[in-house]
Amino acid sequence: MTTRCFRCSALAAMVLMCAVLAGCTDIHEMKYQSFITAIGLDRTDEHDIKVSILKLLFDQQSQGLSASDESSRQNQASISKVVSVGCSYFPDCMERIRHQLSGRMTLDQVHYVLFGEKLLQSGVKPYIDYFYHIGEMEQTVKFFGTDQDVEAFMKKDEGMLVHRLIGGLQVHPSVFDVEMWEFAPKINTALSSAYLSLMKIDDDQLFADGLYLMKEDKLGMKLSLEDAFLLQFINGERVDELTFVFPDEQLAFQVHNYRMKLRVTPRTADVYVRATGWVIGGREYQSRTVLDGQDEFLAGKIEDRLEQVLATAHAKGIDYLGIGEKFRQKNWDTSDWQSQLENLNVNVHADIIILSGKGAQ
Amino acid sequence: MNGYRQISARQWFFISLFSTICLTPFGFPTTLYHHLGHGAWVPIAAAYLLTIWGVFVSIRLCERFGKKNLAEWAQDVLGRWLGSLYAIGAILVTYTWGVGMVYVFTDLVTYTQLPNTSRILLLLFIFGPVLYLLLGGLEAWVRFAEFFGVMLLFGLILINVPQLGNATFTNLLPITTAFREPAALARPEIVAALFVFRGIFSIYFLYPHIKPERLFRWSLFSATLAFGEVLAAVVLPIAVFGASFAKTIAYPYQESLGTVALPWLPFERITLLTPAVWQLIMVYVLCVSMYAAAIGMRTLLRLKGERKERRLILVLGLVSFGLTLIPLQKEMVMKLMVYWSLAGIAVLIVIPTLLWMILAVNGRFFG
Repeated sequence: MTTRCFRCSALAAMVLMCAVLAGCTDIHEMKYQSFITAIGLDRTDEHDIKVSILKLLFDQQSQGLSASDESSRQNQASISKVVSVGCSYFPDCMERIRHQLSGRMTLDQVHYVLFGEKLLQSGVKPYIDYFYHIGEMEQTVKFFGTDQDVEAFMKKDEGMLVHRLIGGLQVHPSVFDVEMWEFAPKINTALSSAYLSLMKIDDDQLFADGLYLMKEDKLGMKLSLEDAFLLQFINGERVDELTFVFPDEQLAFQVHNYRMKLRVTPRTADVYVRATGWVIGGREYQSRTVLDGQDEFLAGKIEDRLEQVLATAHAKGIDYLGIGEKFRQKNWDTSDWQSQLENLNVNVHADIIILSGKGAQ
Repeated sequence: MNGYRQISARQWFFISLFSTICLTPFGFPTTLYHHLGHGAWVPIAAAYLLTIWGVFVSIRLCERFGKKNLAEWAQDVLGRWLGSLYAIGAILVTYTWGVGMVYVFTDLVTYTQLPNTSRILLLLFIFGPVLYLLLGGLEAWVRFAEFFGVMLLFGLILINVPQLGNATFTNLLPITTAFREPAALARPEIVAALFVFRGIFSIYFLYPHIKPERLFRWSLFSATLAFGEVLAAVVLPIAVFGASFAKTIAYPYQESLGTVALPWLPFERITLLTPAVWQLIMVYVLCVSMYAAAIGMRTLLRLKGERKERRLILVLGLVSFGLTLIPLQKEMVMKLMVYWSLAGIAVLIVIPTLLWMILAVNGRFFG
């Protein structure tokens, strides 16, 4: 066989093999896919699981919706649809949703997962395990919690509000930016606790209404927005526009810059918070001599409130600071970590530096 | 396969680098996390030291026998039968390495990126170009390897560097964990990890074709860069997720890549890069594995002439294609790779070291 002939037959064999042996299976064109942008999970009063998904609609699908479809009836230009199912076993729910969709369920466009309060109380581990097991969702999916009805929340959202919020998350001080890859490892350990922002939609407006602190994979406690705001000091994420209001004193402290350091010993944990910023108050706070006296007052207030929040959390076995993880890293005893955490002495040391009013301008 | 020195040490650097990186970032880490937790980096560091030693021994041995490959000098040193037996062992280790890695690759791509793509199509996309390149001769596929080598290096940097933003390196503490239970380090799975940098040992077959100038320096550089990549693949999932969670994930390195979104890039997610990068690396691995095995078999079968050599490569390629069509579970492949690695350590590190020492003591061949 000449070289030329050999090459020709090799090429022909390859083309033939591609045509005969190979084949793409299950090809799904875009128009036959159902893109899910949000998943809501909650439990019903009968302790069943309720799963709602927010599905994006293409123009044709949007026009073809039946008049009975509640989410689209109010708004003809609706671009999304909520599908809800109930079941006692989570994979069953997902299977039922698959059957209800007109196209193939596509989860790689999910932007956020919303956990209802009842579901958080019963534990979220099976759901996170499922998400990792199917391997279709991105690691950067945002996680939120809500105490509202999940289905109602998603109908009001229509795929827009939370999406906008996610786009501007870096500058939003009330929302804790939690992605799946940050959340999942913490629900599998007692040495560091996960947290979720509590979201609400009232009158078509989205609110961050506090913070859920997890005790392993279950809801440990709920923090008010003011206390959650305070935890931004030790969250590690840099956020702009942190402002603390002290209504009794009729003043506020607008943070310009801050940093936190955690030092642990086998018996104590010391949290060092250093913040610079501006005092916002009445005319009397324009004087430098008055301002000079406020730094210790603000430091004391912040220390007291932070210590109180952390002590309450520790009493419930919630390790927001990840002190247990520090213990593990130092090879110290972490057995029976909850009782150790309860007895741990936590001190907050705040160092507040007040900038002149001109700096704020 | 003309036998003259066709490729430079720099070209050897590129083919040894990517064939040494291989698919190790995806295969071994989970096993290491299970046994050693966040001390999983220890066997990788030990493997690197062992590889440097192995490279030193291989180059010294090959230097002694000049233009002979392993199958040729083994018969000179150990006699015809024992030498042939040893050569068959080395050829089998080198050849099955490529086949095993195809299994890992198809499983990875199917699991993470292309769940609806037929396995046979993936295999055709790998074996087609590999056979085409190999039939073009050593110089042809090495030029391909050199051309894409620089691009692949940039790809690997792009994959790893953005993950540093999500990494917490204190997760690796305490540093002494891996040494607390010495028995764990003696498990077959951990000992097998000492052979993770195996691509570079193809030098035993390719040495007669490589120009010897600065060969050790380029080999050392290649092993060090491969060590950097494999170490990143082991350490980054721990730094991102923590060891206790990383060990529960099927492909921790792929998942830690997924924690990064780069909105300023056209594709946003670096996970989209990985099938392309590792498909190219797979081409390197198969080229090196099949070509090295072909050189060894050519010697043992006493085949002469380019046409026969081409046919041998074609047969090896088709056999590999046929073998990889057999469906095997990932766990089974991993188990086989452990025993294969132990055999590899014996055949390509321990025996050459003993031979080199005996020859050195004997003095006749000591250079």
